[in-house]
Amino acid sequence: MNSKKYFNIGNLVFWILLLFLFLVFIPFFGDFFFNEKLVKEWEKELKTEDKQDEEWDDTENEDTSTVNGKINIVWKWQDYDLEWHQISFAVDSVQLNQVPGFREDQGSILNVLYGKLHDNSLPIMDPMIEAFKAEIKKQNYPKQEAYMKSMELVASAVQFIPYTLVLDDQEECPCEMPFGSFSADCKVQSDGRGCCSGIMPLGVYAPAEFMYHKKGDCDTRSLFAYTILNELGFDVAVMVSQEEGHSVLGVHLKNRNCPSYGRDASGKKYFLWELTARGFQLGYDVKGNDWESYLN
Amino acid sequence: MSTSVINLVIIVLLGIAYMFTYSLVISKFLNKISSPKNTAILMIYFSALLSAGVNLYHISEISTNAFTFFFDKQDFANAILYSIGFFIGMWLFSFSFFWISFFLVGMFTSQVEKHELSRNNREIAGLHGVILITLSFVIAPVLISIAAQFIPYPELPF
Repeated sequence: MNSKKYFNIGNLVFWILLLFLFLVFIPFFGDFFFNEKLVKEWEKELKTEDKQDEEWDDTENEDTSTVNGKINIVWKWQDYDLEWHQISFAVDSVQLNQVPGFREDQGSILNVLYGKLHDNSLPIMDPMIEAFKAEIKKQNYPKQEAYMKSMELVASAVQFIPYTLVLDDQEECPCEMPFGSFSADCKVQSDGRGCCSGIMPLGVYAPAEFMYHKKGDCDTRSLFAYTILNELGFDVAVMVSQEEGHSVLGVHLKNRNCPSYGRDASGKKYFLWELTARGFQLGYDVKGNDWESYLN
Repeated sequence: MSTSVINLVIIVLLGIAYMFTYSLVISKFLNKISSPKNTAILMIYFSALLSAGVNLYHISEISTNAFTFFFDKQDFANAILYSIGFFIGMWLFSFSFFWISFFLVGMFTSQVEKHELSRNNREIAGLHGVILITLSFVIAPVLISIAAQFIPYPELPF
């Protein structure tokens, strides 16, 4: 066989293979070409165009009341589809008052601190975890989407709360940071410029504290989201970048390949999920190359 | 532990089969242009192997993910099928990609590449090799992002 003939046959083989690959992929992309479900989603998107991304309501933080030694807490937020969700639950006021004490006498080793704060907060947060579970079940997500949508529901709840900078006793509010200026009233502000100082050690609130007063920066939020999602059974981690001085939530998924990820000690890959601002979804780029799991 | 060991064995076996069959097919094809292989052909040959190696590196991670996902669910048939499927898919892609690279090089140069290769034109072989390897580095991560979506999400844990 001369080389010309060989190339002609090879060329034919190539196109047959390409056609074969295309045929193999068609069932998976069938939904993309035409799908009633997709059309309905577009309809839904068109309908939600009118919906606006709501501003934080300062009275939101006051949605608590105390009855018979129980504090009723309300969380209200919009998810990524701008749908509203609300959960309300009651926690024991005596237990809640003990929460700041969890941070006392803890060392300044970050992963040990995270572990202690998580363990101590868990029993108090049980009603909230149950409320999240009920809210997720209420959504009746399609089976294939349920896993991801449930995580998104929790992440959007955390992101909906405006950022509040939390400092230890090394720095004081008000302050100027490379990422903006922060006021000193230790209050959740709609512009995300609230600032709390003197939170020892290491400027991180316990998840139970965030559950109640909704003040927190990156590590408080990551630890809180970790506590909820881990308890619900998701494979998550608190990821920290020393280089960036930042913390995000890490999610282990086998069917995703996101550009931003970190690893735990065993080499397991966790994709990064920014929780400090609204709208950040899993897979969005997060700066830093030294992300490590500090709790998983 | 046992999952990791079994996965390791499967990955090694599939990896060897992938590289061996690929090198065999490419070698036979290149022999048709020039036998024994001249320097230009050898450059293309090793570039094709390196390109396939890059693709192999990427697909082995997704294959491992699929294997552990199904193995943990005691779905052994799917664990094996997905692993083999991913390797076959990537093999076909590597082979197709090798073919496409001839068209790409053809667009960049005015010469008939196969004739030039048989005349030991190392410049054109170098260009072809660089295109093959570079595009593999660019395309493989995107390709496995698509491939990864074939693995289902876990069921809701509660």
